[in-house]
Amino acid sequence: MSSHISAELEAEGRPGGTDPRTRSLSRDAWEDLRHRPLFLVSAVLIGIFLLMAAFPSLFTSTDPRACDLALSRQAPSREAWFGYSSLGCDVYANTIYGARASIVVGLATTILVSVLGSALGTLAGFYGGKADTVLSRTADIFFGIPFFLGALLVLTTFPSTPDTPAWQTIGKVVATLVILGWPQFLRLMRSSVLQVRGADYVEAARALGASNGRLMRRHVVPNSLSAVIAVATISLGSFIVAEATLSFLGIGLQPPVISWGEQISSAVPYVRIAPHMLFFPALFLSVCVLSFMMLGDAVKDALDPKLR
Amino acid sequence: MISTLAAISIPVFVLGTTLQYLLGIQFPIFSPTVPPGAPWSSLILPGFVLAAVSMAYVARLVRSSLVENLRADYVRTATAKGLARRRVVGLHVMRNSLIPVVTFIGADFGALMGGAIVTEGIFNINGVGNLVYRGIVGQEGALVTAVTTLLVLVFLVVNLLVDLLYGFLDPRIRYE
Repeated sequence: MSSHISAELEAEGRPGGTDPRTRSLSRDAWEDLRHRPLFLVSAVLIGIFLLMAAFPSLFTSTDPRACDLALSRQAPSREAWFGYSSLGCDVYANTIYGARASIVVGLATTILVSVLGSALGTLAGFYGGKADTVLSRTADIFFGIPFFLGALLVLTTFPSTPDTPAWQTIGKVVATLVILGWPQFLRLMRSSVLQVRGADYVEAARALGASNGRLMRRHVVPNSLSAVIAVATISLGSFIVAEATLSFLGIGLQPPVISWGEQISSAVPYVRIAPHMLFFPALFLSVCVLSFMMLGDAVKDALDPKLR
Repeated sequence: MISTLAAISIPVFVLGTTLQYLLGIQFPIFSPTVPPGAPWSSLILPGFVLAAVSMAYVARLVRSSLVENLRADYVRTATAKGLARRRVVGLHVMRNSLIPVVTFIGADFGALMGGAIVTEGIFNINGVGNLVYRGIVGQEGALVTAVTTLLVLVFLVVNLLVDLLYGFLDPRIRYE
């Protein structure tokens, strides 16, 4: 139990302690994490998905855009493990190449949302008063917008066509998710900062003459980040779901970009005669989201000293 | 807990189309789409699909709330005076743990009504979500405004009910 006590001491009193006998909170969380089966399974799966996103040609040598209408909707066979789509494209190749768009959207959105949200949340929580009122109420406005209706509004105002470059189509979806997602992180960071702000070690640093900027950078932010890190990992999964749902509705990622959501939506009309077109992208999407959610859950448990 | 994670991870449209195919077409237990007039029997499957994610969230919320409350002093008192475990958890702890759950359900109700675009689309239901969707795509401002106003009213009423429920669940909360 001594390591747990030292972790709590670290969390409360001495960020970045240098005593070799005690371990930092993050080190302690890591020790805890690497022995969890949930973490190991999800880390391996995420590794595979990241590899798939970065180097799809490692998994398939078929060009996902080389389609032959004569093969339209053929069932899985030895040549094409997952069968062919309506346009006669190889479903396996498309599913592999679909990982990239989903993971890029998920990662980019999560990074932007957590950086923006925690920066503003730190300012709101640390300074309080007018800055807090302005930032929190602005966040409330965005928080009140129902997700689908807000996304629909943004994406139909700036529609993508087949001629739009891929990065623009992806960029629009990321921007939409960021606009609707940052208030959650502002609230989270603000509440952690409010807890940390009054701590004795912050007062001590202030008494020693540390400036506000240094206080935030060295003391407040490192001690408030754990909640944001845990929620960000879980959110990564839900951003992928959101992107796939928007693509499914036909307003997210559009055809030149290969995405799971779009593949599923184009497979739905043929579900009676060719269920393989629906099944495989849906399976990949669900497993990908599940692995991020499991990772987030494991990280959350490891970082939360109360639950140990 | 992994089962709730799985339920959260499977996107609504994946669950919807898969269950529609399996239970509606392959093994026709439920009707795959909702005919006009929406009889109750045809609404079971869409209802389950729409509820799946919220169900998992509620399960997780109840768990964490219960775990927190099980350490409270009144639990020890209740156990010490000889109450059965079932009664302690079922009555005393459950009632005190339900407040965050009720709050969540209240906030979620509006989302379930207006945000059911995907489920309504898959099962061909002529619902409010679909109406708003068509309104936005067709740029019919008046329609969107009217439906949104209605949804806001429902949302407010549900939140009032939630506030009243607090007093019932925890008699210490009073509105005077």
